[in-house]
Amino acid sequence: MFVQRPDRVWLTAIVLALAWVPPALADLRGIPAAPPPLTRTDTRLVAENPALAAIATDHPWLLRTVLRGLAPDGVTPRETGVRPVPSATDLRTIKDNPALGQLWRTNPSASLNLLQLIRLAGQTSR
Amino acid sequence: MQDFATVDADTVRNLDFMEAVHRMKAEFYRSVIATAETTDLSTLHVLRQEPLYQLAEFLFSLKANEIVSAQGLERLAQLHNQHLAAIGQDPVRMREFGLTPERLQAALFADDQLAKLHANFLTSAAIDQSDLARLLVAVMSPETCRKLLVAADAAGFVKRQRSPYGAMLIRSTGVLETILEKVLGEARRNVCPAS
Repeated sequence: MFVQRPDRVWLTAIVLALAWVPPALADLRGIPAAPPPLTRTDTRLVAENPALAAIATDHPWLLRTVLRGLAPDGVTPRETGVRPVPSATDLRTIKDNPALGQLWRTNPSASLNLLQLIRLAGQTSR
Repeated sequence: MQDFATVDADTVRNLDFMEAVHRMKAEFYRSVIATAETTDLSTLHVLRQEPLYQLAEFLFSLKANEIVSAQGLERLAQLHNQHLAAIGQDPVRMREFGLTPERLQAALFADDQLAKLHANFLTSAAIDQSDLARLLVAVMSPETCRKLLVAADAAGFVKRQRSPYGAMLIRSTGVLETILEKVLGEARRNVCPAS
């Protein structure tokens, strides 16, 4: 039942080729000549973070993805599991790259303000 | 070095208080690890960090202050917006909190997000993960918050559930609140036996 006649084989090959070629051409036409331009904020981040500057030089096409990951609205990235808290090497990298430090930022002193807000909300919403 | 016998009574009381605070936190983390429904080392590593204590305080405070309705949560979000707006006007506090203007702006609840917060709590008694990250933005980064919630879910401390609209809804199981209430009570009784 899976054996095809020779003319059907050619027909299948042509159909598959026609189905495949247009998107492939579209993809080729869709590749711009240069990496996406940076916004003023992006340029500042790259200037302030040597690790980002290195990516901009070595992997300019990857930079946009990295910057998107650092953006404040990138709150729900792929669920790839739990990453460990920063190691000593990570901490050195964070020290030299302030934007990366935002990823691990915690501020226990801010808890007091939050607890006061919750108490106030409880008092004023009853 | 000062002889311990000559230390004044006030300093001794300060030392006692410091030990009580540390004993409370040690007991909190011991209970957390003992109760966690996972033995995964990387998850336990995340649970042992300070942000879990901050999350427990947040959840316990919501319960203790009876923020158990959509209206109460919306009121909290409005106060949060006012608080962040005040921080944004003050460069010294911006530095103190370690926030960038972009992150502060992203942490504000716009009108449609307030409506979504209200609707999620009304229909599911849950908070969208990104809304929870907004409320905790001054305490921890959204990335830390997400990482923490993934670990807390694995440990059975919260339930993370994808809504039909794609939001990741968070609901506490009550375990963290119970642990914190117990260790707070013990610490308080140790420091002030009459209370």
